[in-house]
Amino acid sequence: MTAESSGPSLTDQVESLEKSRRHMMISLVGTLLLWFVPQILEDAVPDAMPHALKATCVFLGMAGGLLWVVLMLRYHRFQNMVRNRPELRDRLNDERIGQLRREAIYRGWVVLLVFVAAGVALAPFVALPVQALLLTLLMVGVSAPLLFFLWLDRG
Amino acid sequence: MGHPDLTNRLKVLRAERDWTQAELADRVGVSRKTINTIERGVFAPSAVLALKIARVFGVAVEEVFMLRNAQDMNGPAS
Repeated sequence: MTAESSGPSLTDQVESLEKSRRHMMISLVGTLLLWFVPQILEDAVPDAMPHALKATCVFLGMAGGLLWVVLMLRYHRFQNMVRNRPELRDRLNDERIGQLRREAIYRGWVVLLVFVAAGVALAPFVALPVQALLLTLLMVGVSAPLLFFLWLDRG
Repeated sequence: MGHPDLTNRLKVLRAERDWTQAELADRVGVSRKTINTIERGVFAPSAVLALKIARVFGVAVEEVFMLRNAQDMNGPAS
């Protein structure tokens, strides 16, 4: 079972793909924040924001959204490539990864519940902008499990 | 992810056979990182994975994985 001289060994390929997946997840979180945060700011303080800043927010939000789509397409291509290589797929998604995914989703769900509960608790006292609130919940719901996975799988 | 009561002899068994973590990972069918986290006690494998690991070493699962305070669990000595 030693590494063959021709081409990288299976372990090397798995490690390289693990790194790619990790980079893609970090990029996905980054672009999601770039996409959502300017929109949330724009919705939260629409009148207090200078026109130039508002335009910047719109531009950043659009750029983030576009990058997100590009990254999702890249991730989809990555998944297809892995799906066609069962020996790589099984190693990339072994039981440790399965357990980390479940743990990350559970923790992300708890964080989302905390945000919902905070919104419910604040609602009687503060006029919360609905659009900004929904975008925040969506952003937290998507990014929190990804961040927890990255943290749990840090090595 | 790990279990405080579980310990293992993965490193010793690997060293006896002169296997790297990558070689063991290839034989078991998991990633090297999974072997590394099991070895360090960060991740507790399922019974199936523990049995697979024991099989590639050619030993009983109890020779690879054991409870830290196994004697306590067997009750007081007579």
